[in-house]
Amino acid sequence: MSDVEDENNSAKVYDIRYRSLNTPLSPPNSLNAAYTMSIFEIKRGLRGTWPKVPLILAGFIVFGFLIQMNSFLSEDAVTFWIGNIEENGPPIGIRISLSSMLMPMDGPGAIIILHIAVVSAGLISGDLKDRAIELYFSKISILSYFLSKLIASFFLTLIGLPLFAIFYYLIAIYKRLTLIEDLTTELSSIFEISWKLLLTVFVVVLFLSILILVFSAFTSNAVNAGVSFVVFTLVSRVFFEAILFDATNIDLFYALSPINAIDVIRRAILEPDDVSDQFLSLSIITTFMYTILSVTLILLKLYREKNK
Amino acid sequence: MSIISTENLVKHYNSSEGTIKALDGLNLEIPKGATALLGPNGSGKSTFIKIILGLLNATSGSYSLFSNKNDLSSKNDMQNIGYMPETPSIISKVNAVKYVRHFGILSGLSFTRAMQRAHEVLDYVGLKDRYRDISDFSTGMKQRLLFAQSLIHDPQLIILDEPTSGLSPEGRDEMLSLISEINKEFGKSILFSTHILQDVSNITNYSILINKGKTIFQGSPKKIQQLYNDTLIIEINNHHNKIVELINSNDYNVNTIGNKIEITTKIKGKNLPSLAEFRDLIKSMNVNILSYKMKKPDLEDLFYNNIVKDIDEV
Repeated sequence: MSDVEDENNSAKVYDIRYRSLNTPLSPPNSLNAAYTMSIFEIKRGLRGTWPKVPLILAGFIVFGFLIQMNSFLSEDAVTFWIGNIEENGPPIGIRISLSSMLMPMDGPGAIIILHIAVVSAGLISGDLKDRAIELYFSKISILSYFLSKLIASFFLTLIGLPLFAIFYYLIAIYKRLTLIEDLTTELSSIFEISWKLLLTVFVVVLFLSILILVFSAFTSNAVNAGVSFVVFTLVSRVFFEAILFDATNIDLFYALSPINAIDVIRRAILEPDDVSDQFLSLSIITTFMYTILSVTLILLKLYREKNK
Repeated sequence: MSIISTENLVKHYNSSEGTIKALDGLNLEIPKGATALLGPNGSGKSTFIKIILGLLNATSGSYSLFSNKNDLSSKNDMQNIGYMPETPSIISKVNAVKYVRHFGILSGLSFTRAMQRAHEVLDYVGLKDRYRDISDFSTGMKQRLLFAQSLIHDPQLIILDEPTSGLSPEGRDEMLSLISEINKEFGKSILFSTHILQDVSNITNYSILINKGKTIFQGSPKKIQQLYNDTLIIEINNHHNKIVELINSNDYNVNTIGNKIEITTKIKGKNLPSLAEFRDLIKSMNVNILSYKMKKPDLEDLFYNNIVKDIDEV
């Protein structure tokens, strides 16, 4: 059979015609739309992220060691990573790692958070850049859209939290449990620690997700959004803590840095005795203020884009 | 029966330069079939489409969609509309199948049916490279993708905002033939916004011209042409100035381009001179007619040189 005949036969096989749907459409449902969008965005956000995970972890380890070299050199390596929980609480190495995870401006966590911020930050800015937002709003409401992006941002940030955090949680739970002899207390401890850790992760990640989304809504691409987010958190911390708080010693200035505020809340959940009531109150107020401000800004921006 | 009608639709935008009247009492009726929405940039075409799609709220006035008044219409009406936006509307890190499927699910299809349907419509629009990241697509491929997306839920009405912009001549012909087929063979109503008027006469049977937020004309594209006279183009070898003077004195408009003289009538309904009449007119001069051509009015010329100008003068 000649090539031309081949081609003609293929053309007959694939003679494509438009076909009617013959399937009724489900009535519009805001929650379904938000769910569909979230799953789509999480899958999309993760695409291209997994191959980078070993690189991120390697960078994390190297950076962590470099930054904490003094501690590493001054202490026994075993104490550094495993530590003596009876005397010092969680080992310093692990403590630093956790601090880096949840306090992204210190140490290696910045690399991870920056990466995650860039991934999450594309959630709205990408749609705005290519006007896909117009297509979305012809099918779903602003609230469904916002909700889906928030859920996606939350999970992308959560998934992006490095495995070191989990590693820390496991060691911390193990270390504490081995000190407890009474089984009843042991079980209650498991519950208490797990509950506190889950709550900490939820609060911190949700807050970071909302902040990331603000930058995503007001920049033209994911990289700009991610970098702006990190710069904002750094600069606000330096301005409020290193300049204003150090000069005046007024607690409010310390808590006005969003990263400081969420860190105080984190500490209040995990180690309540370490945080004064005043610091905690101020931090809750500023965190709440940043959250409300961020959500309002995002919704206003979306409303404006819809009406453009 | 009309699928869309508007009554004194008004949309004002507030800007730093004051209030901009995007729609200024727009009244129109769009019947079933293929309708072209024509108008220069800033005429109000996109604003009108966005109001119909629920993206914008009108300042005042009302519209009916599938015979439902806008205040009574629900999101269900939107399921009967497919929309192909003017801008690329591309989402990165996703391939064509997932992109189209996603909008199918958002339109109310189940995951499985949306997947099947995505392949069907991508086949139909002839998009072959469907597993590549769509950010890398050419303009033509993006336009096909967007058209497929607008068909995924098999809507009654498909709104296409500048569907041929940025396409090569071949790509444009292919896109127009798909649009024409979907209308003529599968009974879908098309609302086709464009400023490329050549596209209109080929595939639409109804035209609406809007400018400055108002309807200027509604009817068949041929009707627009009938409103204006033909142009006579004559090429001569010499005495251009004398001939121009002579023709001007006979109720004709004259425009010279090189050796060519374009003649139109000043009075609507008055015929242009036939070749014999023109010969009679210039017989006293020693002039050779190199060519004689009667040109039908081009929609683009009509729109930009006559209709818009007329409205501006008013």
